[in-house]
Amino acid sequence: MIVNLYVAVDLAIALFALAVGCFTALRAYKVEERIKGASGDQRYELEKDFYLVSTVGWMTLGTRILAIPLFWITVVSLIPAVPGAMCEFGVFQAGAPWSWADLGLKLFTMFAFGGWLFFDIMNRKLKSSSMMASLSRGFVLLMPLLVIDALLDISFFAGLKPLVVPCCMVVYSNTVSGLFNIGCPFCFITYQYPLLWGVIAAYAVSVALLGWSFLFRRSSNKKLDDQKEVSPLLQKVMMACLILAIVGTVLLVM
Amino acid sequence: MFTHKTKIIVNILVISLLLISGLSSLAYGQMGTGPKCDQCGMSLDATGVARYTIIDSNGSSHLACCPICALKLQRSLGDITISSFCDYYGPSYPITIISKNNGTDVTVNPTNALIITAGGCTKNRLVYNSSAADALLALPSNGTSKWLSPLSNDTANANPTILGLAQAALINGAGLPTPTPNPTPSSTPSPTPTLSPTSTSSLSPSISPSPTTARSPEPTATNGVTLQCEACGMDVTPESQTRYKVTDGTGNIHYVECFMCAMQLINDYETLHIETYCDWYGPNFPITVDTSNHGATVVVNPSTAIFLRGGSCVTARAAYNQTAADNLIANGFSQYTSPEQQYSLPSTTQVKLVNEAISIWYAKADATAAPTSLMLALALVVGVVISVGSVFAFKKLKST
Repeated sequence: MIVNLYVAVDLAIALFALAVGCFTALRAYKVEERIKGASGDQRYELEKDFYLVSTVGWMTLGTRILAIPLFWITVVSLIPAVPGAMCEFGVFQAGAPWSWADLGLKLFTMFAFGGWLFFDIMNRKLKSSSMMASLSRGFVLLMPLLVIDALLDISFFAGLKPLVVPCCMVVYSNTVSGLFNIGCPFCFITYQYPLLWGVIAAYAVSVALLGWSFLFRRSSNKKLDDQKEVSPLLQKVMMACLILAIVGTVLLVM
Repeated sequence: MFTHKTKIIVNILVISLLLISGLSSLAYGQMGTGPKCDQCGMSLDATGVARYTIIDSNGSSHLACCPICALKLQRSLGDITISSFCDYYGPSYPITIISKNNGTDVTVNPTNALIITAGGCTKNRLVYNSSAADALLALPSNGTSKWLSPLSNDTANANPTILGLAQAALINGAGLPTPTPNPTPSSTPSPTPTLSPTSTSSLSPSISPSPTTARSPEPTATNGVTLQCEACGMDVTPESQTRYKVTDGTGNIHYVECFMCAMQLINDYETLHIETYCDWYGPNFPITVDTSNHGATVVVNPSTAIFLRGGSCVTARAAYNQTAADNLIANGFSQYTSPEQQYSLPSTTQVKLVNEAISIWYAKADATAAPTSLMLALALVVGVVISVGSVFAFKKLKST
């Protein structure tokens, strides 16, 4: 295992998310079970319980989302520790197969966890809090993803050894030139066109917001009052999407 | 908004998060944000810190974990003065080393002081004389000493190398190969050049390779400064700067940290001249590569020179002939291989004559050339689609 400050913080966040996520999932399950036939007073109690689920859920999923750029920074910090590695590709090679699985899952969890947080924000704005049951169920369903994400982080960083790894220059020189002829995508983004980090992040968040908004609108279509409450909020989200898309495009042409 | 119970639980969770962050920072601190060797990064305790007093030409102090790391600091610091004591007799037997010009100008007191390289930083020793060396390595000490920190008090490996301090200063300052081999895993005697070609290989020279006039490494142009490899961005140590001399048609010098990176530059320059030497036989067996027209024309001397591509910079080797290549495959490296590359070679190592390797791998369009405009256009289209979609959705929401 190769340890530095970033690895230590990454592992700490993974363990924290595991522990807190389990607690939250249990509470969410209870809320979701009891809300179906709840009376007015019972519903009030459940709403209070749900606030706890929501708050702790934010801590859990929020830290996991924040851990994604931290994950990348950690991998970059480990480059000097892996003989033969000159970019993130080498570190991923040294930590294979957990590293690749972890990277792939993080691309997915970003949207999954972010979607839950988006729905939760919208739900808080709704007077009826009509999405309480869905959000509670959603958190329980996301729990396995959270566990796998944390376990992959632990497996990757705990199992990383300073192996001599093939260099991306060698691996990508053997491949047929692709459509874009960029060779190693990691070197391309990290060293040649670092502004692409901003482009990818801006476009990804923008697309995610569009998708989440679409899904939220579909799920809130059943109640007219909710629709009226939701529309101004979604307009703001669309503005944010537009601004992010413009920012990403500006960075692309720079 | 929140109940009392909720607030308590949230507070507990926040405090837990802070505690975990603090513990992880503390754990990291325990792992070594304290004093460390300036050369290799090994953690030092108070005894380790006091073991060497190292002053550079600016009067700044530095730390080292062992005498070898202390001498290697010359590569980054230039002229240094090292004050220490005999690891066997103790502080009453001081030893002083004044080393200048990367170890080519060394003053040692006492002149009989010796360095024992016994298999790693925790085993390297500095002794007052040969009697101290013998006593330290014999039973019951076996290389350990009461004067040393527990962090650096491991028993010595069998058959350690004992060098005079002046010789050790030169080796570790200018990055010269050690006179006796320390390659792992083999403990066979140092490799000697074959005087007759191998009969089975068609790649062997038709005449016996004869050593050229022994050349001493020239001082680095950058006076011990570590540079960045032009091909891969990794560090080019002073030793690599003497090992790989790369110049283009206009006389500009290019710095690379391995043979693979040197050849990686072929496609970038109309004309390129590469000088290095065999990673098995050493500096007396030079290898030169001259390319023109971005690698379309290649002249390699000797024509039997072989490139071993292990897949990364630390597993790239230059061999004088097939015999050298075979030995490098079997042993990974020799004492003439760069210290940063002393790893065994993977079983997937590709072996090709240098001119073949260049024509197949390096004399072609750069795989990391600027992206086609198609990629840029596609990315722009994505951005426009997102923008249009956002505007469309915004207007639709406004109308409801």
